[in-house]
Amino acid sequence: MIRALYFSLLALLLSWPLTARTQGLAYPTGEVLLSVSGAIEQKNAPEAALFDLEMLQTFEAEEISTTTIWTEGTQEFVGVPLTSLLRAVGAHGMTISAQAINDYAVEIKLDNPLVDSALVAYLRNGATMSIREKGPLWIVFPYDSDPAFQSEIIYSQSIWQLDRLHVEN
Amino acid sequence: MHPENRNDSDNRLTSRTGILVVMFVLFSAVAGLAFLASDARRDIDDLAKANTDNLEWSLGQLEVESLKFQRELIRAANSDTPDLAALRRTYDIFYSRIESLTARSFYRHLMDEPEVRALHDRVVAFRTDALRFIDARDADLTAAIPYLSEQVSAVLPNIRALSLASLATQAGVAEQARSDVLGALDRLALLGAAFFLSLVAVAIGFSIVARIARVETGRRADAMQRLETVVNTSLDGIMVIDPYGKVIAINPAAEKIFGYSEEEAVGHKLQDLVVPDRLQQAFSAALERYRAGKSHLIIGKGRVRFEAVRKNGEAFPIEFSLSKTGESERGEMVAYLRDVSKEVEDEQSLITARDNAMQGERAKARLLAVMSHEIRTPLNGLIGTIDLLSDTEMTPQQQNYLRNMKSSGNILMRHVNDVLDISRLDVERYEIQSVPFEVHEILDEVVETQQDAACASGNNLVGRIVDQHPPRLLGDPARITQVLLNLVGNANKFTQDGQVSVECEYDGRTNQLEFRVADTGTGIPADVIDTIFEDFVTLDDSYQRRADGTGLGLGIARRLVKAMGGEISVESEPGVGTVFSFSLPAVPAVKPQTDALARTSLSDTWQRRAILLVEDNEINRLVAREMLTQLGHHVTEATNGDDAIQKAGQKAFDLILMDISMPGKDGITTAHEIRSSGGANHETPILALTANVLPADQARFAAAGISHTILKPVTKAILRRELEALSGLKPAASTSPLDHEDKLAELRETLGADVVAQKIEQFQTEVGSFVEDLKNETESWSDEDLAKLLHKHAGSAAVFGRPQLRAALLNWESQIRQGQNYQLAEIARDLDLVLKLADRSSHEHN
Repeated sequence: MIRALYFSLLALLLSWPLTARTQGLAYPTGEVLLSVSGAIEQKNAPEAALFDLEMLQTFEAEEISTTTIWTEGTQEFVGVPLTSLLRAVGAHGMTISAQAINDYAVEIKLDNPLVDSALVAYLRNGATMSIREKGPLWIVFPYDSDPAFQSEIIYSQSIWQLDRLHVEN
Repeated sequence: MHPENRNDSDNRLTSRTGILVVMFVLFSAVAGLAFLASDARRDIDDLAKANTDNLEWSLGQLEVESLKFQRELIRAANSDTPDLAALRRTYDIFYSRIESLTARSFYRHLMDEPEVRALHDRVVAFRTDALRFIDARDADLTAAIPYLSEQVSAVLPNIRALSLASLATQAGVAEQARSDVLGALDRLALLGAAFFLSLVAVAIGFSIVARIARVETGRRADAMQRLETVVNTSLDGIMVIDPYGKVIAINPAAEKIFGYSEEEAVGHKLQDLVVPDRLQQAFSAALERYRAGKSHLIIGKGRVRFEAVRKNGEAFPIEFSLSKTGESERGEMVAYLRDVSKEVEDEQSLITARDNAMQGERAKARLLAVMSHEIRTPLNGLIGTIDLLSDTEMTPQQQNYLRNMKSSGNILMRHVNDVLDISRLDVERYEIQSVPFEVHEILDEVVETQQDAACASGNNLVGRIVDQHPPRLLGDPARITQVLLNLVGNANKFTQDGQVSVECEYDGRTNQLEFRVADTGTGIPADVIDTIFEDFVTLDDSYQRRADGTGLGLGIARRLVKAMGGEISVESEPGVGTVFSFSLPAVPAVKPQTDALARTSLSDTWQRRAILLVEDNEINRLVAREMLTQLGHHVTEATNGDDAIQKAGQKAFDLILMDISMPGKDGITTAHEIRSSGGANHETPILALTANVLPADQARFAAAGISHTILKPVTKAILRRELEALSGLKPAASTSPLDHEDKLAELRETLGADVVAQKIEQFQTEVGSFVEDLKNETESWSDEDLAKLLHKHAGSAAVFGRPQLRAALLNWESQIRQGQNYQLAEIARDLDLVLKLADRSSHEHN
C-alpha cells in the first residue's frame, strides 16, 4: 500500500515537467563530466544533456558519510542526488543505463526505493576525484546506514568513473 | 464438605502446577527460540550482506585494463603522433583497478599467501614504475613507450597468475560460503524443529490447562449451580450485606419475608429497609464496632431473635444468624433469616395453654380438697350416725336396712378414698408403716369381709396359707389388706359362680411374702393386660357396667405394692381365669407379741381423759362426742375457733381434737393461738380432725403445733387407738413404775432376761452418748433431724419401760416440731436429770 503510494508519488514527480527549472538548462563551460541521454525533456546538446562540474555544483548538494568495500576507512562523499539530476533533465522512464569511462555498464531500476539514496558524487573527502581515484563521478549509496545497501545489486550499481546516463523509456 | 474442599484445593494446586509447567516450557522455548533466532538472523544477515564484490570480475577487469593499456602502448608505438591522452587514461583506469583491489578484505586475505603477495607486489611495482613516465612530459612518455610495452608484456603473466590464484582460493571460499549457508540452514531447520516442538509443547500445555480449566470451570459451575439452588430454594431468607449494611444479594425467601424485590433491596442499606426505628441506633453502632474490628457481636453466635419491619411497615420477630464470608477482607456478612412470627405465636399460645393447664391443675387440687371436705364430712356424719344407730334397739328389718345403708356408705367412702389415695400416693408422701402383723389375720379379715360379695356372685371364696404358717412379720397390714380387698373385690366382680382363692406364701430365706388372688372368671384380654394397672382403666363397656368402679383400684394397688417395696403382676387366660400376684419384702418381727399382750398393755395404760372437741359440724360433733363418751372420756365441746380458745383458756385438757375446716378461725389458726397463748393448754397435744388430706397440709399442721392428724371419718376404733398412742405424751399421774416393770417383765419373758438386759444396756449407752452429744453440741442437727432422733429414742424408751424418759423425749420433740426455741444444753440437762432419776429408781428396785 505504502509502496504503491510511494511509486505513484515517484511517478508523479518524474513525469512532472520541470519547465521552470530546466527551461534554461545551462551549457557546459568546462570539461564535460556527464552526458544524460534517452527519454529526457531537457537537453543542451542535440541528443543529450551535458554537465560539467560547475553545472553539477549548482544542484543542491548532499553528503554521504560511509565506508565502502572498495576503500579503506570512512569516506565523505558529496554530490547530486541521482533523482534530482533526473528531475532536472525531465527524465521519464523507469530504468536508466549507467556507463563508465571504460564502458562498464549497469542498469539502475528507478522503482527500487534504495535508488532514492543514490548520490552522483563529485567530491570524495573534500576533493574532486581523478580517474585513478575512481573519479571524476561515482554513484554511491549510504552503505552503512542499512544492510539493504550491502547487496550485490547495489554494489554493481555503485558505478565509478561514471560518464554517461541513458534514460530508457 | 471438608474432603471436597481439600479435593478442590488439590485440583487447584494441580492446575496451578500445570500452568507453571506450561509457562516454564513456553519460557524455555521462547528463550531458545530467541537465542537460535538471533544466531540465525546473524547468519542470514551475513548471507544477505555481500561483503565482497565479485573479485574475479575485478581481477579480470585488472587484466582487461592492463591489456587495454598494452594495446594503447602498441598503438602509440606504431603511430607517429601517439594519442598520449588515451594512453594516460587507460593507465589511470588500470591504476584505479589496483586501488580497488587492495581495499578488499578478501583480497588482503588472499595476499597472506606469499606467492600471491609476490605476484601482487610485482604488479604494483609495474604500476609505480610506469607512473614515472605517464606523469612525465609527453616527450619522455613517448620515449618510454617501447620500455613500457616491454614492461607490460612482462607483468601480464603475473596478473594472469594472480587471477588464477584468486580463482582457486575463491573456490574454497565458495565452498565455505556454501557450507556456511548449509550450516545456517541447518540451524534454521533446528530452530524450526525447536520452534515446532515448543509450539507442540505449548499446545499440549494449553490443552492441559484448558482441560483443567474446563473441569475446574465445570466443577465451579456445578458448585455455583448447587449453591444457587440451595440459596434460591432455601426456606430461610439469606442476605449478603457489606460492613455498612448495604445489601449485596438477597434470595427469594428473604424477598418473601421482607416484601422487597431483589431490585428494591440490592444496593440499599439494611437500615433503610428492615431495621425498626427503635433499633436503628443499636444496629448502626453494631456495624460500626464490626467495621472497627472491635466486636463481632452476633456474628457466628448462632441464632438470635430480633425485630424487623416488612416493606408494608409490619413489625415482626425474626430469628437470624450472621457469619462472615470466609476470611474476606471486605468483611461481607451472610445473614440467615427466619420469620418466627408463627413460632412466637405458637410459643405464646403454648405458654397460655400451660398456664391454663396449671390453673386447671390448681383448680383440680382445690376441687379435691373441697370435695374431700364436702363429701367426706357429711359422709362422716352418715356413717357415724349409722354406727350409733346400730347400738340402739331396732327390729331385725331395721337392722338389715341399716346394714345396707352402712354398706353403701362404705362403698361411697371407698370411692372417695380411692381418688384421694391416688393424689396422696402420687406425691410419694405416703407413709408405709412397719408394724408386727399376722398373715392369717389379714387373710381371715379379707375372706370374712368379702364373703358376702362372693356369695352374691355365687362364688366360693377361700383363703389359705401355702406350706407352713409364717411367723409374725413386720409390715403394713392395713395396706396389704387394702390391696387384697381390691384384688378380691375385682375377682368377685368378674367371676360368676366360680372360685376365688386368696393364697399366701412366705419364703423364710428371701423374706418374701407373696399373695395370689386367683379367680375362674372372664379373664383379661391379652391386648389390654399390660394397661390394667394404669389409672382409670376399665376393660370394656361390660366391665365398666359391672365394675361400677373408678378404674383406680388397680392403680392404687400397684402404687401401694410399690410403696411397700414389692411388685405386682397379673396372668390371665380369657374365659379361664386370672391370677393377680404380688410379693413384698417382709422380715419376721423381732418381738413376737400376742394380741392378748397388746390388749393388756393398752388397757393397762388406759385412763379417763379430759378432751376438748372442736367441731363446727353439729352431726360430726355429736358423733365424735358420743364415741369419746362411750370410750369413757370426758368431752368438752367447742363449736368454733374462738369458742375453743376461750374454753382452752379456762381449763387444762389432756387432749384437744381440732376440726381443721371451720368457718371463721380455722383449726390451724386456732391451734396456733392456743399453743402460743401460754395458757393452761399451751402444751396440750392437739389432734387434727380433717378430711383435708393434701400432703402439703401436713407441714402447715406441724407448724401450727398439731401433733397428729386423724382422717375423717372417725370411728370408735380409730379414736381409741389414737388416744392410746397419745397416752405417753403426758404421763398420767396414776402411771406407776410397777406398770413399766410389768412391761419389762413381759419383755424378759419373751426375749430372755439376758437379751433384754443387753438391749437395755445398749439403749442406755446410746441415750447416754446422745445426751453427751447434746451437751457438747458436737453435732449440728437440723430441727428435723433432732426431732427424729428424739422420737427414735422415745420409741426405745417405751419398749424398755422408761416412761419418764419417753415423756421427756417426746416433750422436746414436740417443742422442736412446734418451732419453739430451744437450746441443746437445756435438752441435755433435762434428759440427764431424767436418766439419773431413772437410774436411782431402777437401783432401788434392784
